[in-house]
Amino acid sequence: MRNKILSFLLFFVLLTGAACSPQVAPTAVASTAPPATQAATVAPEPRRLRVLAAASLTESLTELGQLFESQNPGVTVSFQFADSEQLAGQLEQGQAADVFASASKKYMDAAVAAGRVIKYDPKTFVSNRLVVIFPKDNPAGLQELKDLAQAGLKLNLVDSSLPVGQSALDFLEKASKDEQFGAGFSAEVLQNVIAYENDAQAVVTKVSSGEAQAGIVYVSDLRADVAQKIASLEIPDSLNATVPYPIAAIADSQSPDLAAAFVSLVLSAPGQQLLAKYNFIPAVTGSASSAGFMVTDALGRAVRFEKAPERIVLAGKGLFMVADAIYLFPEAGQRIVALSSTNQGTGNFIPLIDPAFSAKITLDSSAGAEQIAAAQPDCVIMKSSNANSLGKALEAVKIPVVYLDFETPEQYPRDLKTLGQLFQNPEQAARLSAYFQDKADAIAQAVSGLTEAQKPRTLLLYYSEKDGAVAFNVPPMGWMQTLEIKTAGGAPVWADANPGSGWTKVNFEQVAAWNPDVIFVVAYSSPINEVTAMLKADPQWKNLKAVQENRLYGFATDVYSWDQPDTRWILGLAWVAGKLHPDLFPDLDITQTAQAFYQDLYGMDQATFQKSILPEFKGDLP
Amino acid sequence: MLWLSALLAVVFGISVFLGRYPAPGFMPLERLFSDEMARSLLLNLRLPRLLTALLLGMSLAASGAVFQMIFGNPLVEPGFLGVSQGAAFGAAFSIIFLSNTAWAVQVFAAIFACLGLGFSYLLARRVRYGGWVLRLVLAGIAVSALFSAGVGVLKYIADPLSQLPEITFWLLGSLTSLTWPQFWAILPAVTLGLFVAFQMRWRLNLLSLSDETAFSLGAAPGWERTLLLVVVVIATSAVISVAGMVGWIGLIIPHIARRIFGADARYSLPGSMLIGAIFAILCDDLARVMFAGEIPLGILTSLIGAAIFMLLMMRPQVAVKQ
Repeated sequence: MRNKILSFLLFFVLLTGAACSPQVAPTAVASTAPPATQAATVAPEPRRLRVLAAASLTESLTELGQLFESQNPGVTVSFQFADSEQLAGQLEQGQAADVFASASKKYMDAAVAAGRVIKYDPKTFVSNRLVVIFPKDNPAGLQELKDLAQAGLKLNLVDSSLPVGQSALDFLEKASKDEQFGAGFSAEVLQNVIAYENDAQAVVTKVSSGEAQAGIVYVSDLRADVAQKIASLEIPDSLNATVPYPIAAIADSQSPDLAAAFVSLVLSAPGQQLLAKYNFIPAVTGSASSAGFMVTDALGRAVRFEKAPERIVLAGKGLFMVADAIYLFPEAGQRIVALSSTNQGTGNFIPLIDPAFSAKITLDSSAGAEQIAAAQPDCVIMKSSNANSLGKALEAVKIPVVYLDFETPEQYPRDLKTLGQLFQNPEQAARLSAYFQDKADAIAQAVSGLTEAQKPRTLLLYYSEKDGAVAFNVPPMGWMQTLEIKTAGGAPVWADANPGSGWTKVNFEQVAAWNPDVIFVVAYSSPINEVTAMLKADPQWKNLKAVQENRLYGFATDVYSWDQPDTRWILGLAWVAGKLHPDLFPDLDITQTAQAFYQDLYGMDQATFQKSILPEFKGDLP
Repeated sequence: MLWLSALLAVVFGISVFLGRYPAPGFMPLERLFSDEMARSLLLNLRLPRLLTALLLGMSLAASGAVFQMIFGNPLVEPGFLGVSQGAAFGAAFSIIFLSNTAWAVQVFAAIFACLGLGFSYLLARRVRYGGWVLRLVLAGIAVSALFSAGVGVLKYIADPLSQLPEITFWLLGSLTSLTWPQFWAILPAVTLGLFVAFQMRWRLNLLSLSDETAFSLGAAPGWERTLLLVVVVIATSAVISVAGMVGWIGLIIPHIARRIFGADARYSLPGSMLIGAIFAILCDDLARVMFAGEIPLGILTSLIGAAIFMLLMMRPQVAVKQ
């Protein structure tokens, strides 16, 4: 008997296990287009650009200067390389110059204080960080940072009067507070020091000759000529000191145009790549793909990418609104390899704008980390509400996750910026932010003269048939739907009815008590036109003012309803404004507006719009 | 007992290689050496998840066994005495108002689970009709309903974007997204609970007798019962705090164990733990491997558990031996 029970269990397992179907294998995707190159400017007459720069920049900026000269015929770049402190002193005393590149924020601040640089002008163009170096043959057998404490190691440091020497001591101090290293770490390491040098190059030389078995210097101190003889150990970010290098044009420069051009060359992708070649860490996000870049996401996390992600997976629940925003970036289509469902029940928009959609893997919206890993992503994007249920597991297996919200108008510029970083296309992010902002501002401007009394008392109802029961729901105050009505010059009547933070049910009695001037109805999973027809024919609803005055509208919908925090919210806003205040928007042609929207944002031509979007028009649309 | 342990080891070993990466089903062994992602998935996701499933099954089955013996009632399990619902309420309360960290959720789940159990017990003593078994079940239903309503209110208040998915997901019971930190967080409480229960397993036989008999046999029934109940409730609420509400394991597994090992808790309690662990691991294997989207574990354990329960009840020779 006992065996029977267990065998039943096993049988059940095998039975259900056999029912599972194989999954489509991931497919390869085309790689991305090359970044745009910088256009050269032409200067006819001979001119001179004077650059004051920190000594550690000598080799890198000299090469950059040659690049600048070749891009600007007739211009000669003359450099003065010295200690940042000394250069700041010269600027204070009034020496003429055009650009100042400092190895430390402190001396840039001094130049600002002296009035030679405008306060908000300095930009970090590279940063430097510590690294442990040792001869390639590794006589001391260094394997990890902890080995610096091994007795008898010949360690060479820079004197603490110099920034790099002080940074090295800071690193040891931090490590001693870390359990991994132990409290005695700093003292043990310092016992190994054979000499404190007066400049970092002396350390590099001693290590490359084998005179010292290890040293701690900045990565930029590793000269190309000794790189063959030296190996290095990375110091993790948590223990490392990242030293930013600021650059700025001099305020009273004789050639402000050249100074600005030089600074922007330094910050440009080619400039950053060149600096990266000299072991500096590029500071401009997204420009130096060879050295990696950072993306800051909706949860405020900084995600580091070594190279532009080319196998992006869009995962998790509630994806379609976020996916529509991601596809605003022209790079998205070719880099996305898999995505979870973007069908809200009434259709799928993505195949209309992504010609390669059919080659992509479709994931279940509750797919787990393993299922997603099987698509071999180098980046997973999801709504931040999935962070705990899915994101954590992906992060545990070192798959980079980027979270987005795209829930309110305020989050739009922030999340677009994140995508701009990810796709290394900040220009597109800025353009899109401006697009949404301008459209919303224009409507807010048009209704700004209205008094409270002139704003129609408006109700937005979400009609749902979940579990077979019809329910009417109102959104909370902070949601896109409410904000659309407010921005479009309406007065939401349900302000007190929804103290929660999700849809709240209301009954007909309450709707009758409000008796609003205008009612908008949305229905995500039922046909909206049938719903509005049914409501208008209902004898109870016929007594409502909005129905009598024929101001009960089915919310404009194409593939998706326009009320949601999808990219269509901006269309929804224009449509609501037109319905609430037809007198203020007499020229509004909503079909034209929609066509322009798809053209501007998704590059959809008129024929596709006519064929694929127009037939989907539902709700009170022409 | 030994063959059960061996079976558990085998099931565990097979499950480690079972998953949806690189393709649904078994992962070939050599893949581990060639594919870093496979290694990482196995070490960072499957292993902690399987270990947690193991603890989950052990804790729920052990507490079910302890409950059934102490209350002399074959129909009780944590889910029937307000313990699971209390833990759910405590955890949801913590997620919304205090903190979503593993420790806070666990502590609040444990506090409210104990409250739920205590409340059910006190209520059962005050009920004026029916036998002890019926009264306890009735009181448990009432208290569970109270906490379920409380969870409903909390769901209403919860932020639908950040907190609600968390709570809903969690009420269905699932081990998705379980990683090492969560496993380490529950390990101490679960170890404590299981260890104490295991050590007291033979006293459990005494404690299941009437107060007078237990006392005459050298047990201090009052506090020993309380101690046992509290430790298993702590273990249960710890696993509930990471896995959510996983039902039926606590009810069904002790029945199976008693059928195999007899009513003597010295054997049926460790037997329950082992079978519970195997059952939880197998159910979780199904949950994660069967479909591209994960099935909540709670649904599977209820489905399979209830099916087995019906099967057991229909066998004429089934009787709970005291």
